[in-house]
Amino acid sequence: MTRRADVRVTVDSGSCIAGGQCEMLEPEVFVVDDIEGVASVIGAATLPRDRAEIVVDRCPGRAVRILVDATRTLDADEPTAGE
Amino acid sequence: MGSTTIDDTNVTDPRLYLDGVPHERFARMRRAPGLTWHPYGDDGFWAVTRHADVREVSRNPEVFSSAIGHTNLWDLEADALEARRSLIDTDAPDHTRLRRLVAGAFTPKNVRKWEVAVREIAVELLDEFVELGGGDWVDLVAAPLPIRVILSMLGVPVEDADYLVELSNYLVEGTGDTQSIPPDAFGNTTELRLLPFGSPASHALFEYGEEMQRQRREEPRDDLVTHLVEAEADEGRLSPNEYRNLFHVLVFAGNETTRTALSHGALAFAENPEQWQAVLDDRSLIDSATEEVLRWATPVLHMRRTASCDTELAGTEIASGDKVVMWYASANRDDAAFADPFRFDVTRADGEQFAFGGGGPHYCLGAFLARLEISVLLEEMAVRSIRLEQTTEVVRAPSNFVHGVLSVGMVPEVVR
Repeated sequence: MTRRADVRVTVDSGSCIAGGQCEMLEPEVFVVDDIEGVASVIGAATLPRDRAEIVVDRCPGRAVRILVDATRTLDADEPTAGE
Repeated sequence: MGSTTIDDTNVTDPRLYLDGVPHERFARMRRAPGLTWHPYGDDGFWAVTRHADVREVSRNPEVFSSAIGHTNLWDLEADALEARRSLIDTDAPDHTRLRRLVAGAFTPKNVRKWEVAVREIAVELLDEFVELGGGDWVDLVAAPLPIRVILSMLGVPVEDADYLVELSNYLVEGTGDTQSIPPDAFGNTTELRLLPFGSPASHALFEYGEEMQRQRREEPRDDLVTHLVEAEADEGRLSPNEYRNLFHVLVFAGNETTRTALSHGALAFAENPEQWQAVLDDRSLIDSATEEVLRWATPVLHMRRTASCDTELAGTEIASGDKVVMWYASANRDDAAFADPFRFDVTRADGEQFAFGGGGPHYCLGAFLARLEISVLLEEMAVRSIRLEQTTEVVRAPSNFVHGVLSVGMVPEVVR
């Protein structure tokens, strides 16, 4: 997988602290609910892998995950596949 | 692997900071292998001084706890910690719950809604500063801008701003060695150890917050205090003690830190006129200039964590219960993260500055608001072609915790 290829992202609502970094970096993909104070993904929730990794890195709650497949997410500390 | 003990390199004596951050001492610690054990009181702490290590501690809140002991250098007794606990001194899940109550107001999208208001305040203050032909930059611009903004968000009437700035100044004293007000100031009867910063001004701020709370219960408005009052009514979301500590944090952090950034920013531009000229020539540099002001200022010098288990960092073994202190002031001058770190450079694009912390759940709640306030002020100064010239020596706060500037004289020169 190349760094430009699209990956799907998701937000773990249990660890989200609504820091707003995701919404700032990728407003087309993430939105923060002001009342509940939790972020979620909108639309197809896909991003080029390199941009997705920046969001994962900047997320203060470590709540943004990259979906490896339908059942597994890539952890922030886990090395990226395909490099 | 071992660690280094150096006793001629104290970085906690508040008096040191009257002459500025002791950067050479931090540089020595950054170069030493592992972490440095720094004596403090009867005990000591691991000094975390490198950018990469501050990042590591910040992002591992399960290992490096905010809820144990205290987030300042000294431990609090259990009852004091409970009485003073705010979202700064909590771990998940309490931290997550508290943070979510207020986080919505500080997201980039919602902060941008305040841009017009921030600009109006900035313009008013700058116009007055120019009209007066200068004066104390802290009193005239750096202090009033952020306090007026945070008070507007909270819903505090603007005529109370001076009173809350006064309280905030006493709180800063509480981070140093001296208190200029007696323990019973503001009608305080609470033991000082049970109050944030051990200051009777905290009692006054609590009372102020509670009075606002009563008013908003009767007459809700579209402001942050009303939002918190509603959360408190909602069983289990916010206790009365959590409310008053949250109000306290919002007022203090919402004004003290950005005030510091705006003061050091003004100093940096006065000392490096070519950097200001670069901004005047190319306004697209405002964003990177804002980040550089933040790096340069590092308004909060450190935060402490406490190891919740035996662990290891930078090759140093840390025992469960050890204090671990992240020195943001040092991380922001680490040449492993920033090329030529002691150069103020508005075009800098290398490292991630840690003025808001090193990431992780305690990342500054007001980060986007602070950025907005700094960038709007710089823009409005640039629009008016105002160049600052320093006229008096800077007077710094004797504090190892906040990088406070008490006063500095500046005159505006309009350049073309």
